[in-house]
Amino acid sequence: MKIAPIIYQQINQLRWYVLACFGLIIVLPLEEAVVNWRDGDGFYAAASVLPTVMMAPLLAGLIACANIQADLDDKRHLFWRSKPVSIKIFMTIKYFVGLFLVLAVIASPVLFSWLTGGFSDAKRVDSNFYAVFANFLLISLLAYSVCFLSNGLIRKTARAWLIGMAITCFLMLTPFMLPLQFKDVTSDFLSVISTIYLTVTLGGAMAAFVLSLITISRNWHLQTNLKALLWTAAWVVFILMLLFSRQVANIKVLDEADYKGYADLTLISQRFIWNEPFQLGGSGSGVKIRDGKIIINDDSFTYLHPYYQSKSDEAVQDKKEEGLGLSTYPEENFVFHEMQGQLYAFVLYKYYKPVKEEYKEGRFGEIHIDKECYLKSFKVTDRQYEPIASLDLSDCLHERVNTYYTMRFVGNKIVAFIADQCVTISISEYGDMEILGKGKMKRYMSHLVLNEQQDFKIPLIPSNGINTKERIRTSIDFNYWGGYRDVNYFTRRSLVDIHEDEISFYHIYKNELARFDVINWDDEYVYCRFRDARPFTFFEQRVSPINDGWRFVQNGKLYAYHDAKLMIFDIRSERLRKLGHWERWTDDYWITNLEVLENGDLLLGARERVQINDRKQWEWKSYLYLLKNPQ
Amino acid sequence: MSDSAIVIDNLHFSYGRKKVLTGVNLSVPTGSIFGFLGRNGAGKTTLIKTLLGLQKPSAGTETILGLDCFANAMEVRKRIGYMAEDQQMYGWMRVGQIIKWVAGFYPNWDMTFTEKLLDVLRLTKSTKVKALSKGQNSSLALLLALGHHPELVILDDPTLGLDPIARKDFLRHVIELLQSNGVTVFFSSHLLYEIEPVADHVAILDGGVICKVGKTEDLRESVRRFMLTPKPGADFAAITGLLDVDRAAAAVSVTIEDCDDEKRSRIRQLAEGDITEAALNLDEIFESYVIGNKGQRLAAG
Repeated sequence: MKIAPIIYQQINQLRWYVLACFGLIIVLPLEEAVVNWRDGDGFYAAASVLPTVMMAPLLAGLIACANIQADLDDKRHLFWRSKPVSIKIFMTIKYFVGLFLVLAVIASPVLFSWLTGGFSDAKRVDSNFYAVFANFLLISLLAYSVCFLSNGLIRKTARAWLIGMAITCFLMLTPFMLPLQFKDVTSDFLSVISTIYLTVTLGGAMAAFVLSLITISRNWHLQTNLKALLWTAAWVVFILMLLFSRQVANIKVLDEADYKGYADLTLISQRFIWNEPFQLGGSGSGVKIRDGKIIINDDSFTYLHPYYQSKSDEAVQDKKEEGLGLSTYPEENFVFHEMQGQLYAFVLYKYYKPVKEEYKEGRFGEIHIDKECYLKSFKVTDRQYEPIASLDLSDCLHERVNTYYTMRFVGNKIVAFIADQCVTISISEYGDMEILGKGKMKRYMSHLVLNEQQDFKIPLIPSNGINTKERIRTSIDFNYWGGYRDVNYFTRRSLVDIHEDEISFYHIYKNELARFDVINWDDEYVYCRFRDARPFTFFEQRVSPINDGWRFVQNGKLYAYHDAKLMIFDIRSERLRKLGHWERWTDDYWITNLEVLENGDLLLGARERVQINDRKQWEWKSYLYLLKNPQ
Repeated sequence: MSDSAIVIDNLHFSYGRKKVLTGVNLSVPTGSIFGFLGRNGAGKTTLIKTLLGLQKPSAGTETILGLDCFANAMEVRKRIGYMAEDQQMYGWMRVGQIIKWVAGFYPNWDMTFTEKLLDVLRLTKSTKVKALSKGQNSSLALLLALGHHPELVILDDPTLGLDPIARKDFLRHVIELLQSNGVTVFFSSHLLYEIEPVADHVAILDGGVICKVGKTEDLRESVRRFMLTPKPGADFAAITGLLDVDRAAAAVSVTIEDCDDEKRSRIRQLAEGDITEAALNLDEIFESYVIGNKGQRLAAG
């Protein structure tokens, strides 16, 4: 059998389909290049290449159907079958010629981009380009093979294409659906990418190809019914929508309460206070959870803002008279700690001198020259905060401009970070404080860059008064969480999960949640390694990207929220899995806090800005939700 | 060379529960032009597909040129030529391209012969297949079936859809090209008048079995029709080889196969007055075999 005429005729047979697909796939890059050229940026295409490549599986399926449709028409089928043609060789040639053309079509936008200089500047191309391109090549291979098979069976191009694409989707989704207890499509998608994905795409493609040879050589023919096909398609869409809805709305709301006003949910020791944060002092509403219901009542507990508290502090008033300003850490709250049944509040005071500085010719700005720093402790009673002690930490202020400072409790000790100093302070059962040790940190103020490509190290904080694991935790949190943005979070939240002998921590990027393991440590450093990542879907990334928001680890779960989106991840499984997703698809809506209750349920505080009339007047509405914590 | 180009022994074939062929036995002599007759849907094409090894029979054996049709399908197809009814080819190809394409499948394709055939069949290489008329399409299919000098050519209703002139033209070409080369031709058709002038052997397929096979001339000789007036109570069904009994006014026509003197004498006993005996053409013979009532209608009357 001479192969060359068959290849030639096969290309001839597919030429119009290939040209049509080529036209479809090149039109966006071409348009982008023209727009760039018109804007004076040069004639190149870059950004549109990836979306275009994503279209490739659809076109691959189309070419696959066109590839053999003409050969399988009943009478034409008899024509070539009656010749001494080895069906397997004939179909294999057709398969690979078609595949080559598909790859050529898919490569064309990439080639166009490359030729026009789209790849010359790394900034022009998505950093994931090659990974996504490889993925879509594989998906295209699967779609092509499955459509080749489906057309071999069905022999009607449009139906075969629809069914082939549906089977491709099904094959891609099967690993996520089986076993059915899998909750997180994306996480499983990740595992599929790394392990099963290759098997599904390459194995599926190969199986489809072999099956197509058997099908065609045995002349199996499947009669399809359009009505049944449409019903099947409707069911597939329905199931996909169910799957999708499970992805974005699978946290059960047990109860909810609202408040017409601007309220924050605050946890003070074991008490939940729902109060107006701008209120400088007074009682907040106490929140209790009973029998799965939110109960709001007036709480006798007095919530105080540190600034309000400082007003009654004579020392503060004296400093103010000297022209010094006060900033506190935490900014809007205290760090509470209960000892022997008594609640204490702690706060860092930093006095600064505001100085006007010319930052641009004729323009002045205010900078803060830090002068003194104190750690203050208060005994908290129902009605007042009684000062207990004040610890002078001013000698830590080696740098004097906008000094960084923060603190957290580790056991019954406070670890405070002031400028480049780490101070470990013991707290007596009466709220008295004593410095246990002080050391200079290797690195502070700037975050270390997380590295997924190679192992990296984080400096250990020079705090020997606390146990090693907590020291590691604090070191990691300090490095990756010590920024001003998360300043209040640092006091009682952590990004580190310590489970048995494993220590891991988490970082949320725009497009994925990454897990890093602590692999070793010595006296000076913690050695870390990237372990895995769970990519976010298109929908998870959009509206309110979770990487801009808040996150913390508690009891083996990572809680992350931003604006109107909450996602909960299981972090102790072999792979990172999303357990739950809660989202409000509305503008001007913000989750303000999330607390994990003792029974595992969640109390979520949220706020919404509501337009009250056409004159763009707004009012605040606050919400409390009791949520079932997904398992 | 074997005496038989095709040998079929007790062939059975079913589409699911529907039995199409139920014990076909047939032997096609080498070098003959063999007319294979049957009504539409009788199973002619099915039988041909099994001969080409495209469908596996449920039971029985088939050999072509001494080769098992299914086990040696590729070898069989190399040595035979096949032309289907209403042959559809690749419309986007040109005549020259499809010849090259088909030639690639045969190790012994003869391009010189093909060029000659192109002239004889009045085809031009540059014409697109989809632009060919039905007659030209059939000619091209014939060319593609003959270019490798097959020892056996199977024609499955090759003139289906052709107008009478094109059909006549086509058949003339077939005879010219094949008969002179001593190629065995297995010619399936339901149009008796096109087989009659060319076929030296015929077989009639009906009800899934071959109900008659033999030389065309012998068949014409052996099948006779008698016009007579029957005696009261005459029972024609008892005559061996009775194919058809039909009442026409007062007269009755009786068609008998393998007619000999004994059968003639038996008929005379059952008739009153004069008897007219006539030879039948193939069309009438076919009709007698396929739709003949074998005396049932008369008995019922």
